[in-house]
Amino acid sequence: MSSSRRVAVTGLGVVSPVGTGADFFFDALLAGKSGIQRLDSHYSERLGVRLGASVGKLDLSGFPPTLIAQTERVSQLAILSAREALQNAGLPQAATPPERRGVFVGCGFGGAQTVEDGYEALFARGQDRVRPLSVMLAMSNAAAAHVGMLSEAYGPCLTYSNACASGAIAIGEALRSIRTGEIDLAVAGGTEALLTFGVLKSWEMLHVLATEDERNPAESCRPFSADRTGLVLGEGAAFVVLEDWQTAKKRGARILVELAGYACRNDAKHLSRPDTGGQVRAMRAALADAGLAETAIGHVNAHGTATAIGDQVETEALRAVFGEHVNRLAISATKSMHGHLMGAAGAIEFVAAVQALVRRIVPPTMFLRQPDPELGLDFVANEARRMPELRAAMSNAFAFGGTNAVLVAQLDS
Amino acid sequence: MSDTLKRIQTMLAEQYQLAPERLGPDQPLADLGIDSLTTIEFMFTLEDVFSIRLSEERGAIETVNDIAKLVDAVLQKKAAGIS
Repeated sequence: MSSSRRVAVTGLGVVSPVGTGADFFFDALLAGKSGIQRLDSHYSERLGVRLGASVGKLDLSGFPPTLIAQTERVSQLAILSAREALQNAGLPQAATPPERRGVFVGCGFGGAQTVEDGYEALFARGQDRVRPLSVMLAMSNAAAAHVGMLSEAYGPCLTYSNACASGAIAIGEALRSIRTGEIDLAVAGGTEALLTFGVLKSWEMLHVLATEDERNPAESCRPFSADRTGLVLGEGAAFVVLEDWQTAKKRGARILVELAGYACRNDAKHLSRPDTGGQVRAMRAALADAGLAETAIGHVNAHGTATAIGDQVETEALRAVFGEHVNRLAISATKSMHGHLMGAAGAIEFVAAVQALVRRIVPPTMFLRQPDPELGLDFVANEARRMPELRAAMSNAFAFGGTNAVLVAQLDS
Repeated sequence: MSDTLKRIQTMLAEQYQLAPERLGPDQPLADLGIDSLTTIEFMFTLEDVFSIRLSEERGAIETVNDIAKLVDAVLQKKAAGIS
């Protein structure tokens, strides 16, 4: 898209089950650290699958009292990671007026804990009241509203809810908003906090969750391995700061990578079963949007959920898009470590792809014990890999419902 | 100083991560960053802790001690009603 404005990624922020802080997060991935564990709460006895990737207790020491009272966990995660992203970008607000700033947030559900607490009070305990702020805590755009206040953005403040593709879509739509000239600065990412009894039970009923590994629960999610059994739900948030290239240059920002391409394409086939066709369309369109040949890509952060069919379909789609070049791709499925962050997945995995480009080292697909002969690609098994020649990377996020979002980033050349 | 005030001070300190020395009886809530929405949320948790309902006769709540006085008044009424 040489005719439109280029977009720079200038800041990263992460709150994740493997660590808080974009650098700690990526260091943990390179070390193969897993944040997946057996959940320990008052309801976990009643779960058939007790696994989750939790962030644990949040450090809210910088939060004023009103912010603590008026935020659900899903918003707190977003505020913490967006705040880091802005700091990491060198507080870019100074160079761009509020009217030229926007917020784009992916979130699959919103304040699930508030909803469940309310139902428990009404239905289980027979009470006739719920928390006074229930509406504001539970609404799915609460996180975006808080990030909007944090960054004092007067431009668009939007929430995208497309299941597991939400975070990638938020970042991609922010790219478009900057390209069109609507804004010069975007805080974009995803957040999710769904480790609640009702949500975990609902996922359990779908039979797509990983069974607990006998030896070590932390090794239960094994994407692309022949012995994979499914996904593990995780929580967390990841944000990036995006800026118009010239704006970033002018203020002397450190540009990490260029967000070069984005596409969102639909399966139009089935609610849950992924479709090779939709994924192929999305990847091809993202490459075209970036103006890159498939041979330019060196690394893919795969959607890689570790379900039997999901990994198979994505592998087929990668083969179709990349042809011979597919064998030269370093393909990582980092969900093996941080779990599946749902609406934040596309954002946190994009941050991992950006970090891989900046440091020229790709994270491993962990716990890949038995390469699946049916898949047969280079999944960077169990050990991070230095790639000094790495120039461009792709990040895939494919959702229930059939929405496929793909982001492409490259180092400045 | 009533037990009620002490309990409220402790709850405020814990829920909003405030230093206890900032929570004197005459401390305006607004200066602690506790706005009207937050006050409503806090009163809700008080109702559970003290097993009371505050919703009907709520006057102006501006300081930490205003909350304690309100709770004490409702508690007294409740005790009188029961005995």
